This record gives sequence, C-alpha cells and structure tokens, in this order.
Amino acid sequence: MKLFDCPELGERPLSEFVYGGAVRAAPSVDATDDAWAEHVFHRHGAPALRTEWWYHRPSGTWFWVTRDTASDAVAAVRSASTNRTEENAP
Amino acid sequence: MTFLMSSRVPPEHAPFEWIDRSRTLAFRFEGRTLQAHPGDSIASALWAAGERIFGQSLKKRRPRGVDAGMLVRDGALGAVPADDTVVTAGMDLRFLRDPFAHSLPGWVAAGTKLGPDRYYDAKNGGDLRHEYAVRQWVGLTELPTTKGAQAAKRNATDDVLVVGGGISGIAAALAACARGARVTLVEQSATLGGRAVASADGRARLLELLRETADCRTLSVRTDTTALGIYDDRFVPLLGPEGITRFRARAVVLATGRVELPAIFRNNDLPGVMTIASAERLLFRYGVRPGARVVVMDSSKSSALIANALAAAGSELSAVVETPGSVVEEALAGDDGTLAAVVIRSATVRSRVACDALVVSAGSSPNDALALGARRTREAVFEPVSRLVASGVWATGSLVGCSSVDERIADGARVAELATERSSTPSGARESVVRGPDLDAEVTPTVMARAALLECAPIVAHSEGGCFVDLDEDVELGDLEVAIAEGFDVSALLSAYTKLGRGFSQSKASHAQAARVLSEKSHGLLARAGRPLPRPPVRPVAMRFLAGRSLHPRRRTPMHAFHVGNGAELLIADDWERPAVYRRSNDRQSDVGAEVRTVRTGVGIIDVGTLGKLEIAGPDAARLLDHVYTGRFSDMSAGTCRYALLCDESGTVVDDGVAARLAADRFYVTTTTSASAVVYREMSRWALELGLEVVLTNLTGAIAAMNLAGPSSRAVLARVADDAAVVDCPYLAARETMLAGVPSRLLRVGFVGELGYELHVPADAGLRTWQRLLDAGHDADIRPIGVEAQRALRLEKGHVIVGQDTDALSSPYDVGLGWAVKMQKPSFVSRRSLAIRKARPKERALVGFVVEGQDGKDVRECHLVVDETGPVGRVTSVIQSPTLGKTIGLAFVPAGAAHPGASFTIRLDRERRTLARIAPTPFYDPEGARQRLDLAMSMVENSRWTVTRDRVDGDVAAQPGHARAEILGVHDVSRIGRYVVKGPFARAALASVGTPVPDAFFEAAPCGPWAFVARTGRTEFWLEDLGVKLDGAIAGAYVYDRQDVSLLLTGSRLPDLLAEMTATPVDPGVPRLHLTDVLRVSSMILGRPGYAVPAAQVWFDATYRMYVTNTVTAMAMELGGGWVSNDAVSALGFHFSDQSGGNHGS
Amino acid sequence: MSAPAIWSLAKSSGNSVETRERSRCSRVDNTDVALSWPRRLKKSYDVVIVGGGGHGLAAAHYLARDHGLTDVAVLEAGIIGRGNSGRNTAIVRSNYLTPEGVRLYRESMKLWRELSAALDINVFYSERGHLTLAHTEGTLRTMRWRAGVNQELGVDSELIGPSDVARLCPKLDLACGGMPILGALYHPPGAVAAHDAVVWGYARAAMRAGVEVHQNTRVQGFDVREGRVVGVQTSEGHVSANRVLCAVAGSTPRITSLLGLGTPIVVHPLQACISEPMHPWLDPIVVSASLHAYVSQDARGTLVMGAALDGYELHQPRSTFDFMEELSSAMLDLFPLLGRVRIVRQWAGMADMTPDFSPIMGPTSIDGFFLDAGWGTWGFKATPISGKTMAHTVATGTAHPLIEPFRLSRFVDYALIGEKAAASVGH
Repeated sequence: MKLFDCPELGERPLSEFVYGGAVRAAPSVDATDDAWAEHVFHRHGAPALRTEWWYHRPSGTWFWVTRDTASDAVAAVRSASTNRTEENAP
Repeated sequence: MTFLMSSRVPPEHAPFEWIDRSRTLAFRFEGRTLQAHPGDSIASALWAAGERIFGQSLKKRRPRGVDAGMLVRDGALGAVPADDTVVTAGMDLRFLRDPFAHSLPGWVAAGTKLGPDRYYDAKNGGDLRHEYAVRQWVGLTELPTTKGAQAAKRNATDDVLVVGGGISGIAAALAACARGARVTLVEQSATLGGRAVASADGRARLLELLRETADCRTLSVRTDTTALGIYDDRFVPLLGPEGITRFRARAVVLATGRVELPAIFRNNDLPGVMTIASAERLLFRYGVRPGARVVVMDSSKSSALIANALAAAGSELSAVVETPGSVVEEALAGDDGTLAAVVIRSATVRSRVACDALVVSAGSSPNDALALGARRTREAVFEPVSRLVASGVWATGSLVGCSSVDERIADGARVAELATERSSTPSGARESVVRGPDLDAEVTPTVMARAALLECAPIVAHSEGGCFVDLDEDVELGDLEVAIAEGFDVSALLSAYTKLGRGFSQSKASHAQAARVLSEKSHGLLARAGRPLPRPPVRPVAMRFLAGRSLHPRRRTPMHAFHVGNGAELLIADDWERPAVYRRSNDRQSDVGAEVRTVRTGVGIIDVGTLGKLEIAGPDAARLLDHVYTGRFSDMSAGTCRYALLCDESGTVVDDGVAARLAADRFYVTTTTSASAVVYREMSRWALELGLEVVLTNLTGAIAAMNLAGPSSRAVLARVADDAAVVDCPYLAARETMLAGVPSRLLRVGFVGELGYELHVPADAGLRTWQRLLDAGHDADIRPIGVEAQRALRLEKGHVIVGQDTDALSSPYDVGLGWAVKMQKPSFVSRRSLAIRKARPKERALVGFVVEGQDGKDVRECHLVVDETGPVGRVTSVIQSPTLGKTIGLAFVPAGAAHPGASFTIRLDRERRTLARIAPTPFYDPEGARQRLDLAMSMVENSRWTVTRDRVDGDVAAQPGHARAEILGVHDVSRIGRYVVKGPFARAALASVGTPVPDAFFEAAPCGPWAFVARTGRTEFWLEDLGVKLDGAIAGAYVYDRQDVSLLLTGSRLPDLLAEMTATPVDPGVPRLHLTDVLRVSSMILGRPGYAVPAAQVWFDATYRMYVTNTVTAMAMELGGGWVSNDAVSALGFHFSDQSGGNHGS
Repeated sequence: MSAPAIWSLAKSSGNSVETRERSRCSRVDNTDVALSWPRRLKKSYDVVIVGGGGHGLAAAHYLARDHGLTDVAVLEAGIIGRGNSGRNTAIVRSNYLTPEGVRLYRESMKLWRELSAALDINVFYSERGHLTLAHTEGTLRTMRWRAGVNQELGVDSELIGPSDVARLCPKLDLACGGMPILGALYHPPGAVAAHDAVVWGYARAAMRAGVEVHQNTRVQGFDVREGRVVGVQTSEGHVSANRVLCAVAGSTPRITSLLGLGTPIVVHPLQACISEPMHPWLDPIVVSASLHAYVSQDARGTLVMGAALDGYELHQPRSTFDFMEELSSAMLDLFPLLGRVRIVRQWAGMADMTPDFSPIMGPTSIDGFFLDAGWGTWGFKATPISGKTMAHTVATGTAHPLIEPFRLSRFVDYALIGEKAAASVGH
C-alpha cells in the first residue's frame, strides 16, 4: 500500500488519507457565469506534476502533496498552512 | 513404459534433501494407498511410487506427469498443483477430471475464437444456447462446502527484504546484515540453497554461508513463504503457512533466479519429459530417480553435472543430445501413454533411443514476474533484468544473468550493499538518487544475461502437431502459427487469442518460447517481440487469507444499552446502530403511531446522539460559518441558534443542521449523521484556504444528545434543571447550563414540531441524564421515541431530510429552502452558483401532498410521479400520519404543476396509479405555534461549560488476571482524566499552570508516574491524567474534555498484538504518540516504556467502544492474554495519579 | 504445417527487418484473415478515429456500414482492445436511473442480443440476470426509483425481497456480515460477454469494409484552423482529416489538453480480479453497492470480481494488494463458502469519471472534433450504441437524438444527468 511521509506525523498508509483534489485558485469575482461554471465542473485531468490536497483522517490534518499523476511518485509532502505562498497556489 | 524398481535413491546422492526419511506417511491416489516421506511434494511422492500419470490435460486430454503443471484434486483442498504442494498424511488425491474437455472441442475453454464455420452457428440458436450448454462443464473445482477460517494478518517491516533463498539471495542477506541492516530472507521452498546444491562446489560454498546465517542475529529466515508481489513503496505481502504478513521493507532485493524453458518438439508433454531444474529437484531434494533410462538434451553445456549425478544414482544414461548440432525431434509414448523413446535427429542421422525420462536443458529465462511487476511497465519486451528494477527494488544472481557460483555470491553481496546504502536515503529523495550516473555501470545486465536469451534449444515443429508451448492451456505451436497468420501477431493479442499464459500457473516459461515463435514469424527480433506482463499475485491466494479477520466497525451512542434493554428494533445507518422503534406490541405500525402521539400529546425523548457535533472557536469563527453555510451567523447574539444549510460550490444541497452561538468566539454546530466527518473536514479546509484563525473540534463522539419534545417537556425538564429558569428560554435559544449536576448545552429547537429541547451532555453522562429525564417524566408517561416516529413527526411538519428529500442535483430552490440562502452576503462557497441557478427557469419543485382513499397506504418513497409523457418526478417521503389520520408526503413535481390544490399522478406499480393533491406544508400546526410557544422570558448568564464524569466502569467488567497481564493484558483506563487545550494561547495556558510545554510533536513529556503532556497539533496539546486545573481562564485557549475510550495493553506478546492492530510500526519502548488507524478506526497509540513488561496505551472514539474492545480482547485471548483488572496492572507497576476526571472535578 | 522444419534463433536474428516487412506485406490485402494490418499511414483521411478500443472500432464499423464512410483510419497508441476494452468486467445491463441513461442502454442491449450474428463472431453473450443488493433503507428507496423508471421505459427490472434473492442466488448469505440484505433490484436481461471477441469482431468488420487500423500510432497533436480541426500529428507522421472522433476512455484528458478543450473528466484507476475456474454455481451477476463489490461467473467458470473506484487520480493501471484484501473480505460476507477459493490474477483499468456519472458524447466547441468520453466504469455495455450513435453524429455533424442530453455543454448549463445512484458500485 502507498505511503505518505508526512512532516511531524511520519509515514502513513494511503488508507488513512482522503484525497482532496488539486490545489486550485478560485476565479476572480468578475469572472463570467461560464467561467465560474467551468471552475466548478471542469478539471485539469491530464497527467501532470502538481500539488494536491490530502487529508489524514486519524490526525484530522490537511497536507499539500506534490505528486506526479502519471507515475504516482510523490515529490513532497507539506503541512497545509494558512499562510499560503505562491508556490501553493496552482 | 513404467519401470517398477524403486525410484528412491540412497541419501548420499541427495544432499540438502527436503524429505525426512526417518518417517513415512500414507496417502491415497486414485483409490490406491501410497507411501511418502514428510516433505515430499505430491509429484515426488507419486514419482517415487512409480506413478507416471498424474491426470489428463484439461483441454486435449493428454496424459501428463511430473513437471507439467498438473493439478490433482484433493478431497479437502480442491485442485492443487502436484509439483509444489507438500503431500500430507491422509490426503485423498484423484485425477482432476474435466468432463467437458473431451466432450467438446478445446476452443470454448480456450476462450473465444473467430469464424462462423468453425465455432459459431447463428442458425441453430446462436451463442446463447451454445454458451449455456458449455457452461455446465467448465471449471476445475466445485464451490467448497465449508468456509475455512479467516486467518489473522500481521504487519511487519525490516530494512531489507531478500526474496529467494538461493545462493545469491543468501549472500545478499548476509551482506546487508553486515552493513547493519535488519533483514528478512524469504524462500518459497522448504530450505535455503536453490540450485546451488547441484554442484559440489556450490554445496561447499552453501554450507559456509548457511553457517553464517545461523549465527546472524539480525537476519530472520522464512521458508515455505512466497512474496506475492511488489506493490507501492516496497510493500511486499508474504504468504506463509500461517497466512499473510503485510511486509514493508526499506529496500527489496530480488534473487528469484531463472525458469528453465521447456523444449518444444512433438509430444514434449509426455510423462517422463522434464526440465533439468525439475530433474535436479527430484534427485537432490526428494531423493527420487527421474528415470531408469535417461536421455539428456543440452543446449547450454550445463548438463554434465546432472548427467553424472544421474549415473551415480544408478540411472542408465542412454544418450546426450547436444543442440543445435542435433535435436530431439519427437518423443514416443509406450502402451501406457508415458515416455518410451525419443527420436534424435542430427544433420545426417535420425535415430530412435528407448528411455523413460528425458531431461532437457533448453535454455532459461529470468524468473522476473516480481521484477516486472515492480517496474510497472504496461507491456514488457523480452529483455534481461537490470540490477536496479525500480525505486528501492533491486535484482541479483542468475536473475540478472550471473552464472558461476562465485559470480552469484559476489553479485548478491554487491547489490545488497548498494540496496542498503540507498535505502537509508529518505523516500522523497530516493527517485533522484537512483538515477545517478554512477549507478548506470552497476545496474546494467551482464553480457551473459543478454546472450542467455539466444542460447535456447531450437524449436522443432512437426507436421502432426503435438508440440506444446503452454501446458496449462494446451496451446500448441500450431495454435500460435494459426493465430499469427490470422493477424494476432503481437504478444498481447496472441495470448488473449490463444489464452497462452492465462492458466493456473500463468505459465512463466511459455511467454519466452512464444516470444521466440513471434520473433521468428513476425517481428524478427526477440527484443521486439513483446510479452504480456505477468499479473500479481505470483501464486494463487485463498480469499480467506486475503480477507483476514472480518472487521465491521460499528458505532453506538451512550444510550445504546438502554435501547436494546427496552425492545428497540435496531437499524444500521452508516456505522451507527440506532433504535428504529421500541416494540411494545406485535403491530409495528401501531408502536410507531403510539410514539408519534406521545410526542404530540405528552412528552417523548429521542436519542439524537448520532448527529454530527462540531465546535468552531476563535476570532474568525463567525466568518468561517458565514463563508461555508448559506445563512448569516455573524449577526447572531450569544445564546441563540439558527438553521444552517450547507451547499457545495455547484449550489447543491449537501447538509443541514443547527448553529448555536455560545459566545462571541464560540459556535456549536450540528450536522446530519452521515455528514459529520465530511463537514468537519471541509470546514477545516476552508479555514486554511481563507487563512482564518479558528479552532475546530469534532465533538460527535464526545457528546451525547437527546431531544426532549412534547407539550409536557417543559415540566419534565424543570425537574432536572439545576437552574429552573432555563426551561423558560425562548424558541431558538441556546444555553449552557447544569442538568442533574451535569453541564449541558440546551438548544430550543423544534424539528418535530412541538415544544422541545435538544440536550447535549458529555458522552459518559449521557445514559445517566437520559435515565434522569425518563424518571422525571414518569407520571407524564414519557417514553423513548425511535427514528421512524421521529421521521414521521418531522414529515408532519414538512421538514426536509437532506439526502432523502434532496438528491445529487437539488438546489435549495428546488426543495423550498431558498429562504435559508442569504444572497446579501458578499461571498460564500455556493453563492455564485446559487445566483446562476436561481436565475434559471425552475424545472421541478418539492411539494407536500395528501392522498385520500385506500390507495394512500400503498404509496411508497421513490414511487414515480408520472404524466402522459412518462416519469416527471418522484415521492421522496410518505407516511400514514398518525396525527392527521391520512397519507401525507413530499414529492418532486414539475415546477409548472406545483400549484396548491392541484393534483398529480403517483405510479404505484406496473398497472396502478393514484391521484395526490398538493397540500401546503407544514401539514401540522402550520403557524408553528406549538414549537415556538412563547414562555416567560428570563435571560440567564452563559455559565462556563465544564465536565463532570460519572464513574460507570467499562462495558466489559474487568477480571483479575495477574498472569494474563504479563503475557498480554487489556485494561480499560478510560476513567483517567484527559483533555486537550487548543488555540493561539494554548501554550500560555499551559505555562500558566506550570506544566511542560513541549515543542516537538507527538512526544510525551512525562509529568508523573502516568501523566504526560504532548503536542498534538500546531497549537494543540494533549494532557493525560494531570491533576492541575486548567479552566480556560486564558482567552484564546480552548479546553476540550476528551471522552475517548482508552486501553492499556501490557505483556510480552504486545508486539504481536500491535502488528495485527495497526499498519503503523509502534515501538512500545519509545514514548511517542502515533495518530493512526487501529482496526480501521482513527486512534492514537503511545509506547509506555519503563515498566516490568512492554506496554502501550491506545485511545479511540468512545462510540466505537464495543467494536474495538471486543476485537482487541479476542485478539489478546488468541495470543494467551485477555482482560485484566486494576490490581493486575498495578502489580506490574502501573499507577494512575488521579482517577477523578483530571481537572474537571465536580 | 509442411514437413518438419528446424528453426533456430541464430538464423533469424540477422534478417529480422526483412522478415517483418515480408510478413506484413504478405497479409495486407489478404481479406480472409481476421485482422489485416495496413502498412503505413496515408497522407489524409475523411475521418480519423483516435482510440482502437471497442467504442472506436464500433464507430468505424457503423460509419462504414450505416453511412458508407470507409476513408477512415483508427489510430491506436498501443494494441487494439488492450485498454479498458480488455480490462473491464464485461457486464451488460440497462437498469439505470435517469430516463436519458435508461433509453441509451436499452437501445444498446437490443444491439447486444444480435451482435454475434451481426459480427459473425461468438461474443458469448449470456443473459444471467443482474441483482443489485440493498443493505439499507436508503438503497432500497433508490432501487424502487430505478425499477419504476426502468418499467416505464420498457426495461425488465423490479424490486424483489430477500426470499426471492435467496431463490435466485442460493449461495448468498442474507445476513451478510451484519449488513442484512433487505432486497434487491432484479434485472433479468443483465448479461455478460467476452470483451475481446467484441473488439476483434468490430475490428474485423471494419477492416473488411476498408477501414485502416493503425496500432502503435500515438496522437501527439492536432491542427486546428479557424476553430476547425483539420489534421492530426502522430508518432508515425502527420495526417489531415475532415473529422476527428476521440474515443480514448482513460486517456481523454491527455487528448483534450492537446486541443485546450476543457472537460470535467478526471481519471481514477478501477481494479478487478479473477478466481480459479470453478464448476458453475453462480448464475446471476451480483452487485453490492454498500459492500463495494460485485461478481459474476464467466464462460470459463472463473469468478470475475470488481470493486469501487480507487480514491484518487492516477493515469496508471497499477494493482494494489489492499484491493484484493477489501474485495475478499466483502466477498466472504456475501458468499462465506468462497473462503478457500483462490484469486489467480488481478489488474486495473483507467476510468474517465464525470461529476454526474453520465458519459460525454457529441460535437464540441471545436468544429469537426467529436467526443465519446466520460465512460468511467460503465463503457463496455454501451459499446454497440455508442459506436452507432457516434457514427451517426460524425457522419451527419449533428448529435444523434439518443445522445443529445450527454453533450459536453450540459455542465456550464447546470443541466447534469444524475446517474450516480445507478452507475457506480461505490455509490
């Protein structure tokens, strides 16, 4: 079973996590209705190295995992924090 | 023909044999009683006993013997492979008869082939009938008639796992140990050694290495154990005699060796034809002579050893055929259908040689099923295995092409050192590290490996066929040629078409030969001839091993004992067991009706403890709620509550509940039963997204909740309320107050439409408060109310249940909840989508309806609403209202038809329809006067909420058991006080009472014999068994009593128990907290060093108490332990400084 | 085979290339073989179909048969039928929830019953009956809903009680490990088929009509002029095309991203496994949404078993061990006697999931580019009808009435087709 090596927590199996999708920025307030609907429904589903939300259930904490959705290789796991840097944003 | 002289050779010819000659055992084969030695395989025992035919092949009914992948039927086990199943006393073995195979052509079992003339006859009933006829005959075994116990699974981990106990595997294991690694070495067969035993040189070296392994402390060897596959992050499940070990290593070294290819010529499947590997096994491992008169066919100059050994063991060596100069063209069967002679052909001569065994060394291919699986390539080509297979997975020995014993030993050692070295780097970096150029030289396969692919005996075709490539599926050379000619000329299509390699053994060797045929017939280059990936598991696994112990987490509220004690019919919703209705008569409906009437006319009490209960504290608490929910909460005054509706980003209703403002910076929110975890999770995500300063706590399991409802509820509550005035709080008030000495939260809400109070108390006071209220309501005829009556009551009020009256696409406007959306708020999660959806023409509406007449009672939830065009809606809720005496319900109808008084058609079944009339909701007390019922106002101060525990002991009465405690004791320590302090000023709060303030996460800082403080979050600390008071005087530090169940686990077998309880390695000797799953439930485990025996403590949500404690106890008992008393653990030195509930003494 | 011949690799390894070309050429215009492969791509085609799975090959067949279009190339990045068409669990049913869905699958099943005769190949279509078990009141409600919609639209489907379930499937344990079976949705025409045969049948029929199928030909880009697709760049060269149909299941996001075309599709692995072959004991197809497991027994007697989607996005058909563990545990709850039965092989496919669990079919905002996607876990049963309706759509340029509701633009219109309750084992 896949492992995530989480800061502070240590290595935990995939079964303890809930996948939260890619980290995305919300469209600006003046976006058109169609642009908003595309934000709500459309996804960047192509294989990519990207940062995703992963929730560790037993500790109730969110992590930002940088993962290659083609190879499943995990490049980095960071604690999701309120002070978001540019790099966290998509 | 069969030679009857005994085939068993004297021990001196069979070094390293697997059998125990000192003992014999009896088994039956086809009704005959035969003798075998313990350790014999079925095949070796039969061969030794002179049995040459183990059965007939499944499709072409060919007689087959040893080394033919034959399956035999055992009475108990079903079909088992004869070559690698150990024979046991009393086995009753028979041919695996497959009546279908001879009565119908092979194509059906072979799967689908093309062409009408040959196989498919549309005129005569088509494939349907055809296929049904066939199905009656397929299959190897029957469905077993008994279950078979589900074996426990254990988790294990080591630095290095070496797969394959051949000489290179052993060398690798020792080298890794020498580097200081903890190593596990697994070997599929009964002993280490592999094929090294064939040579005198190999035997000598093997003995040295075996001596070293015996002395090596950090090496553990598992024989009779198969590595089933290499999964993510070096997860390698092992199948041993006792079941499955879920093994994880930092590095994996594969030393799985090579597979001998079967030679391909006519009748190459006759009993007596075998590969050199299998001949070696018969002779050296089982002491069985492969035959009396043997022909050896050799393509790699490697058969001298076996030839000499056979001669020495008394076989007559009739001929040695050296390819490609000369080849075996055909094998001939005697009258009994076994090998009698071979036809040898060279450039010039063609000769017939009598023999009863043909030992072929036709070349070999890497045994690379595990390696290819680890590589994760989609379609493999036929190529040598490189030493670095994948991140953290390595290969060595003959698998990568090493030939001589010395080379295999040296390579094993070198690769193991590399593997150990690399594995010490963190998993994140591993990928890049292994791509270092320095490694390229190391990992490329040897020249020999490349060469070996070509050093194969020629494939000898024959005009009359009978040249088998895959014995499992009876695939012949001719079948491959037909398939290729038909255009199935790449391996993936070829094997799908012919079923090559799809059999029980997944025919490792057949792909190599097929690749040669393909390359010859089509692509030309062996390297270009693809091969299908071998798919895990590498050997078939019984589902009882895979399933392991059957685990079904169940949650119960603190009042569960009362429910089952009072005739409640339980229903399971999510993990929860809830009372559907309390049965008092034989008439279920009248019981429900009576419960409804009780609430309407008197007073009832409902266990609503399964509701999600979240506390949101901190300066930004209101902002968070305003953002997540559709309503506005920032303008609420403390002491009030409001309906809270949750929509997702697309504006679809996902949850609802009540939000109570307890103080300027503290909200208490309820969610529906199924949504609590999700709402908590998404709220914390939004808090992060927005950068809000909030403290979220999920109190669902920590708080018991009950709804006291009915005209008399006020009188009943007045009797238990310490503050008499609280009962007169206004509708939608929220109070923190004391009930019967228990600190409680009181929400005055009216889900069921009567004067009612929702009472929230600490879980361990739940049952007591519940019973106090029942006592207080005795003369008011109070009675407990089940889920069904509750649903009826809310439906009479027209209240919507999210998930039942809404679906995956419902907007608030579809279901009449538009009033709960506050568009004035500048922004919230669903605002934009709701604005868009509100502007669109409404398609459907949820309306209340009434059905008069008899048909009403036949209306069911999810019956369709239909018109002449077909389905246009559905009934979402319906009941026979006990209060109103008619059928009422909610239904989706087309928005255009949703006029009060209008009628629509409900479809009852294929024939019957009934008319329903749209009626205004609520059906009952439309003005809501009864629930609002304005009582004399009297504001009360919000008292600070603290907790008192009542001392009910664990569900399982502890027994003494001093002895058990030393083996494996389970003791309930839930009674010990514990709480968390959270928030920006949590540190300050700790400092103020002088406890340690640990910086490192999850490390328990001791504060006494048992007590500790640990950091469990960025601004969260766990306090266990601390005497000090911490009443949260400091603003910005929030204190939450932990109501978890906690178990103390003690004794020498603790590591075994932990290995079954959790996948996370827990060292009892290290005082570190592990937040991880235990038996699939979110839990916390702590090593408890410093005691006479290994010890650990585990905490988990109290609603899982019965499920977890019962399961852990069952496991402990299997390991020789069980429940133990306080005396037993204190005798071992476990003392708890405070048993009065931590800082929350009443 | 002629007189005994001795082959040795030593001989062949030298003249490999010639051998290959010869063997290819010798078969290229030989029409009586099952599969005849063209030698190389032409410069241009009227229609290019991306994806040589069941859907793409079926579309090619119906383009030729129903619309007389044969200047068609099917481009397959790997080998035909080795994607989801060869990885699914081969179940065919039409007992869906939404009228739009039920109509589509109903028409598909009409084609299925005739498929062996129509394609002149035995697809082992076997009507077993399909049982979707309900362990909770909530599921039972949804079953009643589905049964009603099914019956209204002429699909044979009904809600049955535990005793009928026991009669139809005697080996089932109604107590089911603490999640008692309260009833089931019974769909008598539910069937299984041999998925490889379907692919080969459509491929052969299309090839015989003149359609070219190119394997190992990977699409790397598109030429779009004034909002219209005019050509395709492939690993084997460039071809121009008047129309392009994309039917690539789990690879849809990769292809649409080449065009900058936005879709809701995310790709999750879906796993399956098979047991050793057993004498037939299980007639119906049995599905338990609550336990996330389903099983049928195929023509060879092996149990074909599957579960819910893997919980996260991944473009790789890798297998996991915990899948087999969870599935076995669920299977033993349903059928305790399976304890000693062995699992022989496991594999995975890649499911292209949509938010509403319905497919995405029809024209797109790019002229001449047509999408047949979003087939998630329910694509196999739709192979014939998607081929037929997409052929119509490509040939006429306008969406076939049956698939109009499944247009890509339904999402921005908030006009989803909520099929979740019926489409997926997980829900």
